[in-house]
Amino acid sequence: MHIPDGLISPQTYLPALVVAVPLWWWAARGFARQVGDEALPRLAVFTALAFVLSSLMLPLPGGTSGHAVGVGLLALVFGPWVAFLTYTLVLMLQALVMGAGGITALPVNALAVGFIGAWTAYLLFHFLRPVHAHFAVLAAVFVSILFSALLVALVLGLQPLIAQGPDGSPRFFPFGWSVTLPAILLPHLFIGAAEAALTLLVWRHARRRCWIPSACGREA
Amino acid sequence: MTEPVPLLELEQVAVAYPNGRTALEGVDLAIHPGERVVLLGTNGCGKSTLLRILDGLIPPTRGAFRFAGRRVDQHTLQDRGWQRDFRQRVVLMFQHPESMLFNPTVRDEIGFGLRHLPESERAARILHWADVLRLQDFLDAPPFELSGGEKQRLCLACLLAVEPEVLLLDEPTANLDPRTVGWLLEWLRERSITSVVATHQMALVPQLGERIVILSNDHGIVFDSRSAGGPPDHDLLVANGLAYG
Amino acid sequence: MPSSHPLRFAFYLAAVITVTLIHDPRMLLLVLAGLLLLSGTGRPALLLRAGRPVLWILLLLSSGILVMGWLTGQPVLHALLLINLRVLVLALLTAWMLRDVDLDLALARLPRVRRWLVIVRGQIQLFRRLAQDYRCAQKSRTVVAPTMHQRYLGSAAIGLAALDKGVHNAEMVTQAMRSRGALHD
Repeated sequence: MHIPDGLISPQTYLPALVVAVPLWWWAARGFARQVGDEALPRLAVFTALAFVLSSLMLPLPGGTSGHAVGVGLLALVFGPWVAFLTYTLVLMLQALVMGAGGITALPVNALAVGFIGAWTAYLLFHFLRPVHAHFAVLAAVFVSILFSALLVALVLGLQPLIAQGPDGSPRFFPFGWSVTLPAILLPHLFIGAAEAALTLLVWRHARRRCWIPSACGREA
Repeated sequence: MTEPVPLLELEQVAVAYPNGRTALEGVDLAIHPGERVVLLGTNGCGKSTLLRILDGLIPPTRGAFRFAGRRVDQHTLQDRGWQRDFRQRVVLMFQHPESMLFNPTVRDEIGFGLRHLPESERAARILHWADVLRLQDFLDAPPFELSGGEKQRLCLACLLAVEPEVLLLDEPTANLDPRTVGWLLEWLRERSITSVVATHQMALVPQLGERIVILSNDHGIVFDSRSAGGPPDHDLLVANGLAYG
Repeated sequence: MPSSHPLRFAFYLAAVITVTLIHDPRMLLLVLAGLLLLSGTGRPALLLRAGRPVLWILLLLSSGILVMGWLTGQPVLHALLLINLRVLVLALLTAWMLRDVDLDLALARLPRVRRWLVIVRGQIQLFRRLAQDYRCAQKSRTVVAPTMHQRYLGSAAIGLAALDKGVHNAEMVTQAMRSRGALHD
């Protein structure tokens, strides 16, 4: 869901930045408290990991493939705050180091995917876990991806309403919800299902290995 | 006459990881200044763990680690003054050089441990070690752009530039070319530095050190040439997976 | 163009925000021309580098705008030019930043951030190599085209290996930095 610069209005990204900054601060503070002086190296490695997970190929029908997001998996394994923080850092790397741009869309992406996506996956997983752990993983990741996609579609579709010229012509992303919602949600039904399946496979193995307490097979 | 205080001492040291896996069990080891120790053992027997204890990175689950007579525990490790002094005197080269490199350029990387020195001396040492380890063409390059062998030479340069008293090496020859291996062996022979080298390369053992310590698969020391009075026999090596026979 | 890299980077960020506040295509065209003029040698390469990542999305959006205009009968030229020019100017700014701003120098006053970036870049290389090795190994063992399930298992294997390596490397890098005295700075 990479949104290039120039499609999101300042009326959107600036308030998004105001919301995101304290959340980033809180996430960073919590992480630093958890690991102390080890924060820098651990965060660096996890960011690199998040970067690579976001480039994992998702097999799709017809021999095609898409890219995973990886936030769901990170949230289930490392927790939602770490997932949020590392995903934000990945977006920064992509924008400023890899040259993919999207610096103005960063706060929106970070909130929609990194924050809402991570917390949706985490909370839904823990809510459904007593029912069936595998189902909980699938549902959590699927719903989190769809929810993030919905938010991005809503934000994009909002642009013609809040950023228009005196003649009503759009100044940024030009299409409303009647276009963005089906255009973004429909493909993400497939992407969400694919990523949920992939996450389950990885999560099951991680649980067996038991090298991360939250994924340990000892739990129900 | 009382025996001199060992520089590095492990007393009944055991290490167990949070998942319950044993890394070391009942290890007693005393290393005196100037001793060159070769640490042998198969994969997973605890060589790397032992080196990390000696580098003050992992506290033992049981037993004691002492450096120059002072016990090293969680409190000692939190003492910044002690840490600074210890880190200047004892250095460890990790098995995978990528873990060790975090500065923007090769020059910064070598100079990292020399920041307490005056600028001119620091610059001179950087150039010297870059020259010795054939890194002079890469001084302004980022470390992650170097090849595996170049990274390992860079790690060596970083550690030797500090002029440590104790050099701990975890499989140092794994990624090094023969020329650099030869240089390292000669350098170790010529210096009166205390060294502990973990290796698989049996052919290099006599050149790496005079004292041989073998860790068994049970994670304890099964042989020490110091107490045995001589090198290990072939049967012992075979029994511990270090020779074929 | 400022000679100091931190200033250049700050200029880039300020310019990006400023461009999103410009709503006149003529002004954006001037900005585009000005950027190209100031960018020095290598303009075609810079323009190509800027245009490539945004080409498809601009084509898609422009087609959509034209269709919308045709269906509604509303004039769309202004919106078409404005959106295309803005996206292109911002892409050009990013391409210029990548070419002319040394991020390492720009972060000179933030040593911890520099270190973080060095470790991230090194680790990304390692993870990428790992993923590549896995993909090559899977490919080399493939006689018949893999089923969907096998493709998933292949991707999952890479994901798991990356997670495994991530947990292990986090520990290794932390210990290595501690060993070199970098964590009690």
